Amino acid sequence: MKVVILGAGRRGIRLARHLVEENKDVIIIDEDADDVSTAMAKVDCLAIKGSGTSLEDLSDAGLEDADAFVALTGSDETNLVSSGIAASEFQVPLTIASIRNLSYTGYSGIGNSLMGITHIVNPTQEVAQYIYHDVERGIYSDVISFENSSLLLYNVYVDKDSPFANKLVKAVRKDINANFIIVALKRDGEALVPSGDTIVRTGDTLSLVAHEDSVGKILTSVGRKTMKPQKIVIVGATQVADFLLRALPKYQHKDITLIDMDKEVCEKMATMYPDVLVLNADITNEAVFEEENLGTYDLILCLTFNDELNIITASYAKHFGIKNSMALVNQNPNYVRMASHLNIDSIISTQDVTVDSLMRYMHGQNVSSMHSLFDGQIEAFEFAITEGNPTVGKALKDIDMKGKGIIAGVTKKDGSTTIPGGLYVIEEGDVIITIIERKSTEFIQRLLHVGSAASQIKAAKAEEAEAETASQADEQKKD
Amino acid sequence: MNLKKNIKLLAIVQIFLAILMIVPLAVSLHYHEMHAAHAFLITIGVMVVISGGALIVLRKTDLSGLNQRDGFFFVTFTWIIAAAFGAMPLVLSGDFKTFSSAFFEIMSGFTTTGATFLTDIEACSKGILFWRSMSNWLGGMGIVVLFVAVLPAIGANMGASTFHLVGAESVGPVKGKLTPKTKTTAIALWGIYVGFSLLETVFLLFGGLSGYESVTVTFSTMAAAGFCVKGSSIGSFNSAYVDVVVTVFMLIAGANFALYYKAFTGKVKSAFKDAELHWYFAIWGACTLLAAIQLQATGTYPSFAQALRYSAFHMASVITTTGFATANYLNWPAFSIMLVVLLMFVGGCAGSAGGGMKVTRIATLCKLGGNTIRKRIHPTSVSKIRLGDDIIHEDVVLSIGAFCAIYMMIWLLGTVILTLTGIDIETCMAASILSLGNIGIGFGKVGPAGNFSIFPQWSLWVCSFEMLLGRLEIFTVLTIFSRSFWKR
Repeated sequence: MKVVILGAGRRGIRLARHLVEENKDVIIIDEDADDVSTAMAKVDCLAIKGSGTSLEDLSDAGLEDADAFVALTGSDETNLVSSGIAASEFQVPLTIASIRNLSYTGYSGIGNSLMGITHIVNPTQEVAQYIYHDVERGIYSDVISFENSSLLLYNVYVDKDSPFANKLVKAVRKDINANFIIVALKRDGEALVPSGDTIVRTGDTLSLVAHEDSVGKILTSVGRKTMKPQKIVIVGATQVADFLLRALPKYQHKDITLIDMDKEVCEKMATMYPDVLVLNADITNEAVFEEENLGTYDLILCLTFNDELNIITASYAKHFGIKNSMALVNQNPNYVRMASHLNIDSIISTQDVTVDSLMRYMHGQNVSSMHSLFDGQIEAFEFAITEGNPTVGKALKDIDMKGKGIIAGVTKKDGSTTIPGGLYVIEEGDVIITIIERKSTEFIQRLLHVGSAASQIKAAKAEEAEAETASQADEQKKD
Repeated sequence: MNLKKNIKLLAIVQIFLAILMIVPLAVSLHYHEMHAAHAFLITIGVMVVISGGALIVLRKTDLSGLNQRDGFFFVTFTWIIAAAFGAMPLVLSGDFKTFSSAFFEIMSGFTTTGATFLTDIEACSKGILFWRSMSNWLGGMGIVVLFVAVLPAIGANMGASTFHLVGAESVGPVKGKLTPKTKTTAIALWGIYVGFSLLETVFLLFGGLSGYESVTVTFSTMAAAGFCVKGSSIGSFNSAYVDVVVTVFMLIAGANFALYYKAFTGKVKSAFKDAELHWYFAIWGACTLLAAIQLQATGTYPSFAQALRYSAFHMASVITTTGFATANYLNWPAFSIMLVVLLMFVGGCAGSAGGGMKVTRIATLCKLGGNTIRKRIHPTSVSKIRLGDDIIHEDVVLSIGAFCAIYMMIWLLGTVILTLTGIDIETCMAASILSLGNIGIGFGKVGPAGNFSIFPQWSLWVCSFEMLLGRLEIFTVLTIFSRSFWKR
């Protein structure tokens, strides 16, 4: 599969890296010569200096036989136009444009009709959605939820007092009386999918998949509490905050305080959300914390444009007494790793969330969720078993994943969710959650028949064309 | 730099080379040369034991995450190891008396220099001569490039690392790719290389050469290298047909292989528009014509056609840095000899199998000169250096300037050291440039009829080092000798 990415920024390079790891051919176009050579040095791809809106440059990049085109420059207009060209002039089956400006997309997004572009991704909306899920679940540490399932995936760090320490994986499962499964383990920076005989050591980070209702039980057993936040303070009246407030139920607005330095923006937000307490103040001003009694709040969300400010505020707020804190990182996803050593419960990178969402889309329509864990070493997929899937009718123990993957959950047609045992037989219509090592993505995808969006769209177009010729033939017969 | 990862990779390369050595072993067995066969068997055994041991010790080391620095180290040591082990059969078979001379011979082979220590080539065993020519062919497109193309272990999980490895070995001022993946780029390059090689072998077979001769001559032509299994090079065949075939294929080997890829993938027009290609043929054509006119006028050759045949052959042989000869051009008039010497400082195109300073660098320097003059006349003028349609980035111009300056300095420094042998200055100058430029024939006592047996053993190491510097384009090797490379 050949993918052309426009824009060699951090997002472009991150997406390229994920795609190359899945053995796809990636070509990056950018106007900046330095960015082009950096891209070549960082990722095993072809980088070309050129403009995304020039027909000649796009043709040089080999758009004629590309399977997908993704426009990720900082300019909405460039992204729109170039994706439009890719769709109309080069007939690329899958075109994706990243667009931030609400005046193009509206709050609900736009359909597939615009300039023939197959998919539009709004990074702001994606990240707001992600935060919304976290707030709703009430857990703030690397929790991943799935579209069609009540199962959750989250990470637990094993310290020396942990009930997990120095036990076999299968023994841990027996000891704790809750329905869960250990799907991944990270030790010394290396992540792997464990077997029942893997020993959990102190210092490991475990990824667990469990039912929503048993999460509390498990977290209590490792000494952590979860609770849905009542009082929330949001710093930064940005578009992310706007999307988030729109998503949160109205009755919750009364418990939300929004702080921003810009008076004009504050006034706008106050008009839009009358129940929210909007403060026109500077969060770095010590008096704000005391005057407004911020220490009594359950959760602080730092959503300004300034990454450093978000991280510092989130860390400071914890010292001041706010129970949980969350910081948004807009520009530099490397801060996620650096700031993980500070006392912040969750650090979210817009770029990581966007790239995850893009990968999810490119993996195909039958994949409803896709997330990456541990710097992308592990991937979690949720996908539907469609008609003709070779695994239908097979018991899980008969599907040989070579220890590189694990099937962690099944949602049946009737909506019931289970963590399946080895004897479970896969049926058509099941939605399966599978956790796999990134290196083996391709192998597992083949094994489980996870399609890609491009091939599906291609097949659909071929069908259409066939139908057209058939109808033409019919007409000829009539003549 | 990650020493463990590098050692593991080097061990894999070594096993790979041991496997390749089975080919000359088979040739030795075919000609019933038991001493040569033994020599190859022992070498293969030693290589497998050493690298096998290293692989067992380092079995847990994973190969991902190599950076540019690792690329420099790995590539340099790949070449040193290849030459060191490649030299073993030469000594073990008894054809070479000292390790110094054998190392010189095989380093000259892998770096596609083609300079020889042998006084009587045809007295050697055929298996050894075959290995000599084969080392030419392996070095031509690059050992590391072949390694990346062929070994399945080197691929997706190494990420961008392979680009650094291939980049440290490929020639030319700007490192590029043909396809999105480094591995497929390497496969494409070797595919084109093998394709042309097969073609030339067939042409030579038509010319009446034996299978053994055709293959070995092809090995040296396509690599722009210059070893020959015959005593007086291509001149031994004494055939105008062979001369023409070899001339054409030398010129093919000296051009940028990326252009062939372009042409084969349907972009013929843009391949022919390449400015470096125009410069390359213009320089070769002008020198060929001027020499041919003089050679006929002075009566060196009876007809213009004859003069053209010899002049075209030798100009191609030197500009592509092959180093084949069909006549002793040192008997030509001085102006024609000087044209040959001039081409020694040019070399092939970027991304070719040829050595030297590369046409694109020379062209850029000429343009830089023109620009500097323009700046004097119009001090406020803004002008970019362009080659054809491409604008050469200022950083690249600077690095080209530095490359050429250091190249000349190394040539002179090498000459100075070589004069310690007591051999005349002209010969020392020639030996230094023919090693550094990977040419193989020069002037003085190391002209087309001469060889390196007049040089004492220690000086062979100086020449070997210059060959390595020239093949890996100086900076890859020199970086390793800088102090900051070993500090963090």
